[in-house]
Amino acid sequence: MSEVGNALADGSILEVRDVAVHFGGIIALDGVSFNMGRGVIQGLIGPNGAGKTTLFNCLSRLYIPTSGDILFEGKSIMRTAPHKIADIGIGRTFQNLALFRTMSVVDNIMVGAHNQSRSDFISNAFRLPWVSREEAVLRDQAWELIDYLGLGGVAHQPVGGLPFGTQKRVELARALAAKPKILLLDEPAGGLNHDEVEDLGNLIKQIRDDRNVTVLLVEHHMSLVMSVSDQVVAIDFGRKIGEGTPEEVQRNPEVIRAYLGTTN
Amino acid sequence: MASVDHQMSNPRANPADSYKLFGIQMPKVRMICLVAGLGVAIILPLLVTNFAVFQMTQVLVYAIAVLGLNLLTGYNGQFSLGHSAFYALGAYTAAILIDRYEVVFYWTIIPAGVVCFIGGFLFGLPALRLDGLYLALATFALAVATPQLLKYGHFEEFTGGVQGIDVFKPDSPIEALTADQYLYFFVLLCGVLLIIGAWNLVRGRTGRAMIAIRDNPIAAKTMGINTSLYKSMTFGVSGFYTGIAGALGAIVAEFVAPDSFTFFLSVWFLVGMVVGGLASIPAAIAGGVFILYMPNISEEVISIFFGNDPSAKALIWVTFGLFLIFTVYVVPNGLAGLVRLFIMKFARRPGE
Repeated sequence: MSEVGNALADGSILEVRDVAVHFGGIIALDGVSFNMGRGVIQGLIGPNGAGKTTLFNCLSRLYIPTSGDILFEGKSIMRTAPHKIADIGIGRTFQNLALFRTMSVVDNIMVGAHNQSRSDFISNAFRLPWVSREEAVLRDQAWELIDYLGLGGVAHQPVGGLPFGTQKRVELARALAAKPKILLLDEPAGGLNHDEVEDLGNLIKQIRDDRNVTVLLVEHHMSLVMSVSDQVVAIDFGRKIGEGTPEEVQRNPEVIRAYLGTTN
Repeated sequence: MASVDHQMSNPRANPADSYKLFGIQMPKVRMICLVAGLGVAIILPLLVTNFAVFQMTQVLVYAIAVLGLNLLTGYNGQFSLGHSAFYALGAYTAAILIDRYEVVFYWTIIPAGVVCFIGGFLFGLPALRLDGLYLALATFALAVATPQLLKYGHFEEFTGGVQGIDVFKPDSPIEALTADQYLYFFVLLCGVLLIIGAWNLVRGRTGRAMIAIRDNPIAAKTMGINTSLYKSMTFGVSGFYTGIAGALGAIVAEFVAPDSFTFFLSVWFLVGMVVGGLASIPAAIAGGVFILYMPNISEEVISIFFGNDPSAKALIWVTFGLFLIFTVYVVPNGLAGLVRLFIMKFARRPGE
C-alpha cells in the first residue's frame, strides 16, 4: 500500500514495472520499467521491433504480459477487462489504423464515446426520450472534436476512403471522444509530410494543455519526439536502454548505438 | 477557438434536405419512398385475390426473418446457416401455444420471440469463440439437428412428431376483411413495428457498436465495447426477429412440420439477405420478395420458352440460378444498394 501512496504522491499516472512479454520462444519485452508523471508528454522510441507496440498492447490489455505489473493511477490494471480500459481512462490510436472503415467520421467518433454513454439494446430499440437526448449530446461532442481537428469537410464520409493522414486524425478524434486521462499514440506521424509533422507536434501539445491529457508517444520521427516530449524512454530488443529528457537520451551512447549500429 | 468558424461551413445534419416522420429525421427522398411503400402495402391487398394476399403475407414473414439474419450478419458480421432453427423454434412455440394451450394467435408472437431470443443468446455464447467459416459450420449443425429433434419420439406429445401440428387460420373480426387480408394486416403491423425497432437499434449507440465489432473487433474492444456481450445479444435479437417470423409463418401456413424447416430454409434466408443487400433494412423486403417470387418467375420464364414440355421443368432451377448469379454480378450491393444508387442520382440532380 505504501507504494501506491508513493506513486500518487510523486504524481505518477502510469507505472510500468518490469513488464515482460514472451511469444513462445520470442522475447518481445524483457522487463521494461518506467514511470510517467501526470500531464507530461513522454516519448517512447526504439528501432523497429524493439517492443513499443507490444508495450502499447499490454497497456490496452490486448496482450497479457508474461510477468510484471502495470499500475494506472496507483492501481494494477492486470485484472481489468480490455473493454474496461477506456472506462478507467486509457485511450489509444493504432499504428496501422484500426478505424471502422464503413462508418462515417462522425459515427467513428461517436463509437469512441461509447464509454460516455449508457443506452442499451432495449432502450435503443424503443428510442426512449433519454436515448435521443444522450445521442444529441454525443453528436454535439463528436462535432466539437470534428471542429477541433478540422475534419468538418469529410464528416459524413465513410473513413475507409479518406487519405491516410486524415484517417490518423479521425483515430485521434475517436480516442479523444472517450475523454481519456492518458493517450497512447502509436506513430501518429506515419504518412505525414514535413509540414504536417510540425503541425502534429503543436496539436499534441495543444491536446495535452486543452484536455488535461497525459501522452505516451511512440514515433519514428525523431524531430517530432524530441521537440514535444518532456521525457523520453528508449527501448531496444525489449529492454530499456535509456531514459531522461530528450537531450539526455540523444546523448546516451546506448541509444546512439541502437540507432546507428555498433561501429565503435 | 478555431472551432466556431468551422461550424458555419459544416452543416451538422446530413447533407440532403431532411424531414421528420414518426420522430425520425430522414432525407426527403427516403420519406417519399417510405410513404409510397406503406401506401402500396396497405391498398394493394384490398384489390387482389386471396391467394395473392397470402403470398404477400408470406413475403412479409420472410422479410422479417431476413431482417433478423441481416442484423446478425450484415450489421454484426456473424455468419449463420442456422436461422431455420430459430424460425422452427418460433413456429413450434406459436403452434404449441395455440394447439395445446388454446392461446389466441396474437398472444403467441411475443413468447415465440422471447424463446428464440433466449435460444439465440445461449447459442451466441459458445459461438463467441468461432469466427467466419467455423461459426457457419456450428450454425449449420444447429440447422441440421433441429428438424430431427422435432421428430424425436419423446417430444412427440408436444411437437406432433413427423406429422407436425395443424394451426387454424384466425377468422377476421372485421367484416370488410377476409381472413387472409386480416392476417396480412396483422403481419404487416408486426413487420412495421419490428422494422422501426431495428431501425432505432442500428442508428443508435447499439447499432454503432454492432457495426464497429464487424469492422474492427479489436478497436471496438479498445473503445470500451463489451464485444462478447454485444455479439451474444445480437444473436439473441436476431433470434427474436426470426422466431417472430416463424410464429407468423406457422399461422400463415396453418401448419408446422419438421420438414418445413430444413437447412434449405436457412439458405433461402441467406439468399434473401445477400440479394436484398447486406446491412440494410429495406433490403429485407426486397429479399422477401425475391425468395417468394423468383422461383415462380423462373417457372414462368421456362413456360414462355418451352411451353408445357415436361422435361423443361428441370430447367426451372437453372433459370433461378442464372437470375441469382446475374443479380449478384450486376448489383453487388443488393437490390437495396441499387435503389440507393438511383435515389442518390435522383436526389443530387436538383441540388447540383
